[in-house]
Amino acid sequence: MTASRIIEALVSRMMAPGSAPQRPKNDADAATALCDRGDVPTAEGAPWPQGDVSDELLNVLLSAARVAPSADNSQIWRFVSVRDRDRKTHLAAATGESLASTFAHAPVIVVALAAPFIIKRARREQPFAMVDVPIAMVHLLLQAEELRLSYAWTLDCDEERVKELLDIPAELRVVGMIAVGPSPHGEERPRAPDDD
Amino acid sequence: MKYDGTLHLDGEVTPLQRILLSRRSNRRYAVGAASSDQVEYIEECAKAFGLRTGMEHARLEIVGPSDTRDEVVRAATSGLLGKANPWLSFIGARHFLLAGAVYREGGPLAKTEIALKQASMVMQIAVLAATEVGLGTCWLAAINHDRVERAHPMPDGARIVAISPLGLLPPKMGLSWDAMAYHLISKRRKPLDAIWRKERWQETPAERDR
Repeated sequence: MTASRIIEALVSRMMAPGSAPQRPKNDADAATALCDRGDVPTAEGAPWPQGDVSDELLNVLLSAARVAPSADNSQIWRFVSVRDRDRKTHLAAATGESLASTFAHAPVIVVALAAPFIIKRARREQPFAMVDVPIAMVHLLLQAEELRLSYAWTLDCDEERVKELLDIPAELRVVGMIAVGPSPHGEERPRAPDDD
Repeated sequence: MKYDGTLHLDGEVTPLQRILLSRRSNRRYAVGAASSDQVEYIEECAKAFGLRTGMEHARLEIVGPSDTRDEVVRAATSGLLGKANPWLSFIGARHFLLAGAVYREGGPLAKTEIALKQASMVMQIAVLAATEVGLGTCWLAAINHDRVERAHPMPDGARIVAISPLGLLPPKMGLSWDAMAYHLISKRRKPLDAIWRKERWQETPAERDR
């Protein structure tokens, strides 16, 4: 048995979909969040630590997603990262009222998509879009957690609106959205769970 | 920093990245069963993730060495779809992971899809926890779902989404993790620029040529 229990440590800190980063719902959660992440400096009216998320960091997050398993190694996941303020505001509206403000103020939003793929030997489309892309999202979220980044995510959004906003072809599916912010500690380096 | 999708930050490979890179879809297993400590750890991780992130539609079961395990294998490999994985009938793995999703048959598609997404995420946490403790797994969704459900009914009427063997790796799988990461995994993955667009969807040059 492993002594470090890495996966357990990471999942025990993860943010739930639909919850704002470092914006706990109750006192118990607040205590946990403060213990886990420290006091978080936020911009006026925004639930994110101040700062940006570099393309270098996005590269690491998406590289984690990239090594996920997929049916027939089809790798149907695609990602669109959005930094443009207006586009983020419109995208945020597609996440629903409770998350809109969080997503609108995020430094970057990553939209997770599924591309159609025909399995040649079976001569049919790979039917596991709602399986394979969430698997890749798990990798991305765990990596964000290990990097101590701030993030919020959802599996539920207005798919047609997102497609329209990002010029996504009709045959692709929107599977989820992840808003990413910098570490509340201003660090960008991975830390092992037992470094705490 | 490399921009080639090899996960490195300034040459460092983190504990999580080591797990992500070590995970393989294993079709060969040594005969023998995972220890109770290993199975318990996997269950704990999946449960903690489910509770922490509110994956209310996901169910994960681990079936151990038993008649039920053997029936699950027979069921999974039966029928036309089950024939996709004939090797499954002959493996030494003594445990199986079963991922289920609770949704209403004929209900709204969006809700069904949310349940499938949740079940898949919980299953992947279990798969990564298994990798961490040195066990092999292999996602299998091309199975005879109905028969697997009859062989091992899931809690709350959850529908089977996928299963995975959970077993001991054969000795030859003890390749160094970095050899696998750099020479095996990366070459089988699309480059980042094929899967990542910025600001809006745009076809890549390869897609335009197709």
